[in-house]
Amino acid sequence: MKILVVDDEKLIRRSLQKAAQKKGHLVEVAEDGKIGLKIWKEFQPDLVFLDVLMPEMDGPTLLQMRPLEPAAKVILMSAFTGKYDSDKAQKMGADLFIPKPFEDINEVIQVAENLIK
Amino acid sequence: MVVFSDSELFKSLVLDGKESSLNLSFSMELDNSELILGSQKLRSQALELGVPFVLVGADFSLEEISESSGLHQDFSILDLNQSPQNLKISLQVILEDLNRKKEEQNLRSSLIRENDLLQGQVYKKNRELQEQETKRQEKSQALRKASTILRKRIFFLKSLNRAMELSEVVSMVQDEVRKTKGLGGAVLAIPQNGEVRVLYLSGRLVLEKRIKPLPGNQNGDWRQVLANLLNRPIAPLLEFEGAKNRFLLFIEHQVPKSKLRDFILEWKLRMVGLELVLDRFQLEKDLSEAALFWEKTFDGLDEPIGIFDSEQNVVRANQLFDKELLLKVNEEIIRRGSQVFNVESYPIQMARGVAEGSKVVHLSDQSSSYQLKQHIIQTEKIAALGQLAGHIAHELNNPLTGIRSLCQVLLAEESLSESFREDVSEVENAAHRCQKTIKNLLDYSKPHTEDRHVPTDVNEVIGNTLPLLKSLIGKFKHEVNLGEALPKTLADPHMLQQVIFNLVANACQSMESNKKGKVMVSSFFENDQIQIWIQDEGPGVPKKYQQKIFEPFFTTKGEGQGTGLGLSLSLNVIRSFGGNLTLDENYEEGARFVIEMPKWESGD
Repeated sequence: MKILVVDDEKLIRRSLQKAAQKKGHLVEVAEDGKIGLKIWKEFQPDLVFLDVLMPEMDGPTLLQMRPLEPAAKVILMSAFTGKYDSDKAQKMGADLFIPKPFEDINEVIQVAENLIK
Repeated sequence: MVVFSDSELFKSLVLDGKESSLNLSFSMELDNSELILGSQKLRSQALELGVPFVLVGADFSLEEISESSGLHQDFSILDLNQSPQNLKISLQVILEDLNRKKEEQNLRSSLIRENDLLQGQVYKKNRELQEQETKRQEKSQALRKASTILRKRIFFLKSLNRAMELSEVVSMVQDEVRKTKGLGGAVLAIPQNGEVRVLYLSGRLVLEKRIKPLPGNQNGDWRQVLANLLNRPIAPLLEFEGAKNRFLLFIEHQVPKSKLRDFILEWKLRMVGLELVLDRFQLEKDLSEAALFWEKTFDGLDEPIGIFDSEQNVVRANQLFDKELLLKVNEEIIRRGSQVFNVESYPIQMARGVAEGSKVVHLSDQSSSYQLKQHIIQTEKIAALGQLAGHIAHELNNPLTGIRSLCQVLLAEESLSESFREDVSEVENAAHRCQKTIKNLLDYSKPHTEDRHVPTDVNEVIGNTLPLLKSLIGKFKHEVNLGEALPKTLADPHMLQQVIFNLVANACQSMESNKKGKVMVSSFFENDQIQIWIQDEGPGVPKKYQQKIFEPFFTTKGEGQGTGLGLSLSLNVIRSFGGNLTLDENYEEGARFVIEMPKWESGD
């Protein structure tokens, strides 16, 4: 499975990347929405981990500009749990909302894998 | 000079032959003296007239001459047997002598007259002097009498002035009246509050009776009234009226009024003094009533108030101003337990508008407004903290999530050495703790919305919470008493659970020092409030911390063991439900936290 991680926090990109790679997935990372959009178009991921608050272009904007074909599953992530929840995320075009911080990164990968199945 | 003679010879000699007759009187000028010759007949006339005369004749004996001359010792004998010349000279000598005597006589007479006149004047003067002396003595006697009366009056009025009570006045008046003979009992009648107070002496005892006012003030009426009142016959009465007609003095008497004139005059004067004394009593009474009124007002104030002199001594303080407060009167704010007083002091303005250094100190009870203020401060603190926490939490959460996640990735690495694994595990734990702190902060700052408030059964929440604490609570004896059929309360069950979790966890932690102690959780409905008690038998909260434990960031736990947000957060949560969280200060076996929640009415 091809996974794109768009997050401005290097440690999160790195940990998601490593955890996913360990499970045998192909992972690309982007540090903001703008780069993320570019990679998204080229890489054509099956699933995207998308942070909400980022410099240059934030998660919701990227969601609006994302290529619809081929369709990718999107998991929206945010520390501002007060502002976002699954319903809101779905309205914005995401498939799932995961609040930060994660309790266990391996569970997050598991959730992502379940979403693709 | 009258010469009486029956001798012709004498005629011829003396008269130089001038015609003469014994029966006729004649005169001749002889050195200004009148010489009258006369007969026996004329002699008696001359005697009657008191005119000096001379008897000339041979027939007259010496006795006869001495007798009839009127000049008993003072006569001369003329010797007729001498020459006419000598006779004339002798006669002239006699006449001169007579004249001289006559002049002397005249002089004496005039002296005597003058003397008599002077004596008369002296006598008159003496009479006048005597009269003046008598008058003076009378006057001085009158003065002495008047001064005695005055002295007595002054003495009486002075003693009256020292009187402290009406009964003393009555005794004094009675004693004074008795000094005058024929006078009897004295009775004082004072109209007061629609009645008349009648005071009189019975033996040495002053009695007082109250009667209805008489329609008129006639003496006869009073005699009758007093007779009834004193139960004895009453003699005729002298009646004295106070100048302002506010009281009457009656004096019994047995003498005609005319004989009492001085007494009546004197007592009319004394009435002025009596009136002054009665006025003083009235004034004292008014004053003491005013003082009492003021005192009651002062003591009735429901906040401490006192008057202090310039030396800071208490002049007066009401009962609420107790010793403890008096000691702290120089502070600006006095705190005692849950009471807070603002010390407000005002200088006392004397009549002239000059402050004499005295002041009124009023302790205004600020307890409720102080608590409100504290609450507002805390709410503001929380709001500021919330903003800050929001920013920090976001900034920290991302890297922390990364650190923790990366640790988790590393820990999944099978090839990791045991030592590395432990290190990574520590890092992961630390990151986890950081996250928890941040989560606390976020919860703390999250505005509490009532959207999530639902009718909640607190017993159910307690029941859901305790299993989560199994590992902790299981170490101690514990008791759970849940009241039956508790009404529901409007709350966010999840938040309430957090609060209960927090409190029970705290209770368990406090028992580290007393492992045999018991943790107790109970719920019941009392005073129209749903109550949850969470108590332990740990060391309890020291008195000095009791006011502070609900403040944010206050903690007694060691570094890294607590954020100090638990209780303040819990209080905020319970308050958002309209309830309250308190520490029971009277519980001494450990700590007892009391949650009170309003019951939910289905209309809410």
